[in-house]
Amino acid sequence: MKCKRITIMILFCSFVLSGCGGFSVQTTTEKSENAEESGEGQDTEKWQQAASDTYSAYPELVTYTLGQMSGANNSNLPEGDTYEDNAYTRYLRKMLNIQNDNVYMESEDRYDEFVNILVKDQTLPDVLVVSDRETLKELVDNDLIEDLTEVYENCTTSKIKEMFESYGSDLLNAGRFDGKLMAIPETVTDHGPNLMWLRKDWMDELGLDEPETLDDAFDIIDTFVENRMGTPEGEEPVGLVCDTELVGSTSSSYSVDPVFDKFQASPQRWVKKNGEIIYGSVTQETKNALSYLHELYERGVLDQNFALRASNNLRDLVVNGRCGAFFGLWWTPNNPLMDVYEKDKTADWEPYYLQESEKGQAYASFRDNKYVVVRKGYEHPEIVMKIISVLFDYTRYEADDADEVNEYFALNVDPTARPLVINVDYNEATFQITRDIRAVEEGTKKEETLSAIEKSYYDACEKFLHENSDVAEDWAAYKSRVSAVGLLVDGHYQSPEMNYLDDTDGEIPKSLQKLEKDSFIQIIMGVKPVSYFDTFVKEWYEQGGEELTEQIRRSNPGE
Amino acid sequence: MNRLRKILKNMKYRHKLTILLVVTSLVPMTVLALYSHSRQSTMVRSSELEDMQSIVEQTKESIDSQTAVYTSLLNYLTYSPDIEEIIKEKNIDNYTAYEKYTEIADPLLSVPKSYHDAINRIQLFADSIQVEHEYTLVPLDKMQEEWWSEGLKDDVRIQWRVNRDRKEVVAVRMIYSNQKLDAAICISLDYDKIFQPLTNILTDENGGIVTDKNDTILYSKTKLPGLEFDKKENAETMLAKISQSCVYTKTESEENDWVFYFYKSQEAISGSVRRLLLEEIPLILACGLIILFLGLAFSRIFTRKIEELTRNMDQVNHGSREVTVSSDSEDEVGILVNSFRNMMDEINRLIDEVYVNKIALKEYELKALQAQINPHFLYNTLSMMNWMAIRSNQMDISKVTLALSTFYRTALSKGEDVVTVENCIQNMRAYLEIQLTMHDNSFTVDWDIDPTIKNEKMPKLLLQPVVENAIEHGIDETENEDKRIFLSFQGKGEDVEIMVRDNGLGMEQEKAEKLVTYQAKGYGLQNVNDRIRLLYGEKYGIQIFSEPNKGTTVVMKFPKEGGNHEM
Repeated sequence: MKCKRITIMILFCSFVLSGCGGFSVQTTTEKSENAEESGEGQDTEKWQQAASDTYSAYPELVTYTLGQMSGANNSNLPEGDTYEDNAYTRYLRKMLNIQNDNVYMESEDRYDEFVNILVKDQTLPDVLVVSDRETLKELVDNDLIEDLTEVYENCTTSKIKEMFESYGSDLLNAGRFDGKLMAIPETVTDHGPNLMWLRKDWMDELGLDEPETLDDAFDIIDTFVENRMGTPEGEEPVGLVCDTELVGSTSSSYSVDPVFDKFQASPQRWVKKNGEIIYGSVTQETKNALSYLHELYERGVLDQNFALRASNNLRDLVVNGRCGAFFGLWWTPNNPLMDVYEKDKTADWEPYYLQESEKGQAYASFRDNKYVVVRKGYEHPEIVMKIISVLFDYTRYEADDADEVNEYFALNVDPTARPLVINVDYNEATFQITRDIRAVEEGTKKEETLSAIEKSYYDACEKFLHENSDVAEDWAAYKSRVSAVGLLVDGHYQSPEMNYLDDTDGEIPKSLQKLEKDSFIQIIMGVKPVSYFDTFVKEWYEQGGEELTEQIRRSNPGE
Repeated sequence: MNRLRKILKNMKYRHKLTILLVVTSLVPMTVLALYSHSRQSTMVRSSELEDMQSIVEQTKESIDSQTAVYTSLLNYLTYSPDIEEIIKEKNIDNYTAYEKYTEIADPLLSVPKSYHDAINRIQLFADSIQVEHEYTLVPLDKMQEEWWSEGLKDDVRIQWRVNRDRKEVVAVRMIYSNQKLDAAICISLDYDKIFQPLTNILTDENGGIVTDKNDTILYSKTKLPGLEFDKKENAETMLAKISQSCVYTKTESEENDWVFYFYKSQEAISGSVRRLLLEEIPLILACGLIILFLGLAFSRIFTRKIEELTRNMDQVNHGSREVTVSSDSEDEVGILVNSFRNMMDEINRLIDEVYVNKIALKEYELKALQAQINPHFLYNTLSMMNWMAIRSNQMDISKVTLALSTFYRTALSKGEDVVTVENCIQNMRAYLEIQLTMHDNSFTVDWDIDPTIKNEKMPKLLLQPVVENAIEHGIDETENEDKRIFLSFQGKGEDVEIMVRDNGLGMEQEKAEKLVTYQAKGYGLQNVNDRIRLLYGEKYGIQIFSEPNKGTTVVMKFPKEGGNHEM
């Protein structure tokens, strides 16, 4: 009896449940049908337009997941702004109706490792910036990323395409695999050569003339050391500070690149010599440069303790007024000289462009280039080209409502604040900006014709020059954009034609890197004689350099 | 007070009973509730304290386990031969130093950073170091520039320092050789991360303090108002301030000299007691309601009969003799009700007896009066007088004699008490003929007779006193020339109405009304009224309307035969 009743209950319940289920399913399908019907006329058209037109907004908010590289100090974002809510993301949302959802965040130094894990786990966000070419190759090989050939063609403004072309076809080819554009490479604008930065106030104090050659500059440093400039009692004078890496990158100072330039040496790069690819560190030119550096060390011009100092120590020496000379790129006023300016207004750092720049034969590498990729199967792959076009073309050249975005330049907000942590600009953009600012100052160009970035720097320079602005940012803008880059423009610096080498398989192993670094330091410090360089070259080839060179030559047969 | 007592005294018995029941139940219940509440709140308080203690112990342990890691790291570094080499070997050339720094010291001092989130940096201060390398290797004399170097004891044990402003915690261990300070290793830690376990347990209602052995406050955080940390304060005054409004527990670190305090505001604790009370209140209310309900119900059951009895007695008091209350129970109330019932029955019986006897007596008296007259003798005498008058041609005498004979015959009516209206009319005609003769026909009599009522029955000799009054006190006394008496016999629905009106002297209406109710001398109207009422009930009787010098009207009403009267 009881059993029977339970059975009936169950039957009844299941009937009710299935009845309800059936009903609700029906209603939802009805709803979606309705939505489709009503949307079919206009929405589909809008969606299609958004997918094919660069500046068209999506009819509904599109949220894309993103793996973001975060910068130090919250990327210098103004108070209250975040990586998901700042001038860039707000502008993109306003214009394209898109919003980033940062599902992964990692600081710059751990980013590669972290992306590697994402790739291994195959848990990619919709949009991702890869900063390691090997990882990119892995993504392509495993078919994890979308082909961007079409969206690059359709959703990119002609200006952006022009920017990419300003680097030659090799740059975009770096993102091409089997003829398909799988990744959008960042453009690393030419920063020009390292400049010699000297304490002009010390030179004036000692009655020294401005240098005209590198040798002049080293004589000045010699005088600094002799007169113990900026050296407290009981300490040794510093001289020219120098990082143990010797060769710098676009984001580092304190290298001795100009000395290598002086001897046409290109250490740590692959070069073409006598029609053959060869590693630049093992050439006679490098040996000559090292010999010269050793002389400087012996003279006391080069910091006697340079081997013991790390770059943060060098920075401290500069900021604390202990040293009066170093090599740095045009942006050096932003870092570290802005700190000096804030601390001591009498410290007058002046840049000098002294070396002949004839690199000629050195090859550039894509190894550390950043690439934007889109997850395979993401329904809006065009979104990356739309973002790039808006951020690097529209807001810079056309928009009149993007002040907030462009103020970020003056506020020194780090590029890591951008949803896509790359920059896209003309190769010679740095120099063009300075030329335009100068033209306006000279009256040959109208202020209104300046692009947003140019305007922002122009205003800062005007403030510094004519309004006695004490703001360190204004000083830095003038010193870097006008003084430093101005030297290069006046010196008729030409960005070298870039020859790229596919050196993915030719990475210098750690042991060889160490051998090179230690040998060079030993030679400079005189621990080993200059003739030891030949021993080093021999050892370098023996310990794997030979094979490596062969490999590079094989994978770049055309060069 | 007296008023209250009076109110209490005069209160209904039922309400007294209700109050009694409710009070006697509430008192023990309240005592019980208070006792259990106080016990529970003590338990809550003590468990709260235990919780706090265990929380602070756990927090301490998790901070301790961290500091233990750094302690062992520091010890490891101190005794590591690589570090010792750097410390011991002075006056080495720059390149060897470069090799040692980059190949030995850098990995050794920077690797732990990637394993321990809280480590800001590890620094080695050594006499042998000439040039600062990164921030990890620093010449010994630069140590004085560090904030933590002040007041360091000459001790080889690990010393912990905390700087609240810089948000830094450092563990320093100094290394001596030959009684001379040779080097120091310092691990600089992130203040927030070190005290994270403590910060994690803080809410709006509690706070935490960490002090060292010197009662310096190393950490203090709370959202409680008034307990914010003041830099000048030491732990003692801080604790004094805290214990005013809070309860605190403390525990000491096993790794260093830190003492952890964890406090919670009294309000928060009494808050949990209050929550307990909130849980109890519905129960207490429910009990109270049950008691009230039961009290009302019981008192109602107990007093129902008594109240009924009281009401019934009250009715009796107001004239009713009906007994409505009854009881089948045999308790005191039942006995009381039944006794009352019996008593009332007895009283009713006695009243009826007295009443009936009184009527019988009146009838008897009338019969006796009638019996005194021998009608036959009277008729014969009157008949003889008539004949004698006729013979001597005295027609007036004959007429009076005949009238008198008729009067008596109709008045006596063979001894019947009730006669017809016709009989009464004849009687009145005879009487009035005699009276007219006596008054020399000085007044006139008018009649108005409804013939349908001639056969209705009425008590005899009822009208005679009325008419007699009309002549004697009405027209006899007036000087009016045209003296009249008007008699009317009418059927009015179920009743018979007889009216006697004269246009004689009359009187004040007040006086006239009194004639019916008082035994006014020489009127006899009250007697007539009483008779009618005795026979037919209270609604019948006579009414008198009079006005001086205008005359008097007497209206007599009784029911037609078949009307409900007792005779």
